[in-house]
Amino acid sequence: MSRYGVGLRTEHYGEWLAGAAPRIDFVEAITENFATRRGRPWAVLEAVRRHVPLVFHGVSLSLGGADPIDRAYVRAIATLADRFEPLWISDHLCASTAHTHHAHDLWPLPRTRALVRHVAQRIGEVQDLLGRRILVENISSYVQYARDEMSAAEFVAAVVDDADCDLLLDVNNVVVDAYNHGFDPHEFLRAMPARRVRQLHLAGHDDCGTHLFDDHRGPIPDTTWSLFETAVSLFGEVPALVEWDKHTPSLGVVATEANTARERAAAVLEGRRAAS
Amino acid sequence: MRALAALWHAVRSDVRADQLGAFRSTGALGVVQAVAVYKTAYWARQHAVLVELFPLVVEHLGAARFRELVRCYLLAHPSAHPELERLGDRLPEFLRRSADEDLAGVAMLAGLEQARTESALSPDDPIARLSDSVPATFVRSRLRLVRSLRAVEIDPVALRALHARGLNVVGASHAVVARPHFAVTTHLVARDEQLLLDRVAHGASMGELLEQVAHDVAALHRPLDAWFRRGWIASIEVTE
Repeated sequence: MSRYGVGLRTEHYGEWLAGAAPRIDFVEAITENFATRRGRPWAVLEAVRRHVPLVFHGVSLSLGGADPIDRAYVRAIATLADRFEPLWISDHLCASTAHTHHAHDLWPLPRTRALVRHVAQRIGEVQDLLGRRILVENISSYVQYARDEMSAAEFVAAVVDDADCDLLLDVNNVVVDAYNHGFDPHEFLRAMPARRVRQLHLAGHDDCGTHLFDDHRGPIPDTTWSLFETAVSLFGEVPALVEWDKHTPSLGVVATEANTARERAAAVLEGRRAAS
Repeated sequence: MRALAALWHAVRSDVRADQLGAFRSTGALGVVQAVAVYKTAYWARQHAVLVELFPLVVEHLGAARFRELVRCYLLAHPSAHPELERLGDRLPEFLRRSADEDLAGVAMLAGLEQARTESALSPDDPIARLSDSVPATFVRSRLRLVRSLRAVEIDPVALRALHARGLNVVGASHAVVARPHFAVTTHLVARDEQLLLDRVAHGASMGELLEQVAHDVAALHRPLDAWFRRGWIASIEVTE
């Protein structure tokens, strides 16, 4: 399915409410910004929904955390989904809580076999509550754990298989992680279960010298575009979305970046057809 | 799971390099610097949110003092909700209990700003018009306030801050915040009006309100007219 989208950002609420109709195929809304509130945020969602389908992307389910899944919050997501009928719902393969408190960050998980089972069981719990399969996203990270037993790629692949969920493959996170931890990003992609890759994320990052920092600054750098093209050649034309969170430009500029992804994917697929 | 607990501890405390045995670094970034990335993100993100939620408190205390306050507050009350806007839920009470007079002195101001956040996050309600009321049943009717409405007592610190923002503070005892549509509004009211509003909130009928103002219809009409215009009334319900 050929779909190219942008993230819904508060900077663009006014444009959406004024009837903006950029050439995009879907919009991804951050679940936490809408799950338990109404008013202007819901009016924005309604305005977007009149134009294109939505997907919901969460940051706080803490799928790898030790605290119990916040079932009340998952039910709030279910209510939101009933109202806006998203194409799919996603969250991150990480921990974002500890000792019942929220870190408001995406923390890497110890990559152990025990954790694979733990996370898969929790994803299953969320899927049961929502009554649908979810997507989980690979995160970028800056530290690893002394007790890690497997590579980042092995861990991601094992979790989505065990949980029987789908994968939101964040291409920029692979670029950042590969640089920070010294692995081959193309090899990472090749290790992903192709049939489970349901969405791609594209974004920019900051080169801090000692490490890359995933801050979603735009525009998308060449390294990320290059890996995106590899992803398209491996997984076909998967829905792709541009995240732009730092110095966010107008909706039109972000939509143009999404359409660049459309053109690059088309060129890759055309090249593949020509070669065969 | 010990590894995640170690990260939580390292992010929120000052730990020495030799206490970071749960972690390893694989790139140019050393373990201390790698953990510091998470530490910086943790404090910076939540500080930025609290600055956004409590601009008047920041203005009153100054940026450096507010940063210090955020650190103490989050150490005492780490975030308990997935939504960042709920981060300041306990800040007014934290300030009120502070032994530091400067901090305790901005508790009401923080309460006002927290009320604005609560109002923003509250459910939508319909907005009734005064013309919806039926004269024949008016004295038996009760008003239902919009759920976003909060009446907050204000002290001289809060009054000065609101005055600086252009509000007419003469005679005001309370600030009333509400979100009739998309935007949260703040209006200042005098004690008498706040008492009437409080009675409405507790289910008093129009007849009971008239008794309170000694059957002076004009004295009741003035605030009622303003409440409807400001979108504070969700519905008019007639009791049997």
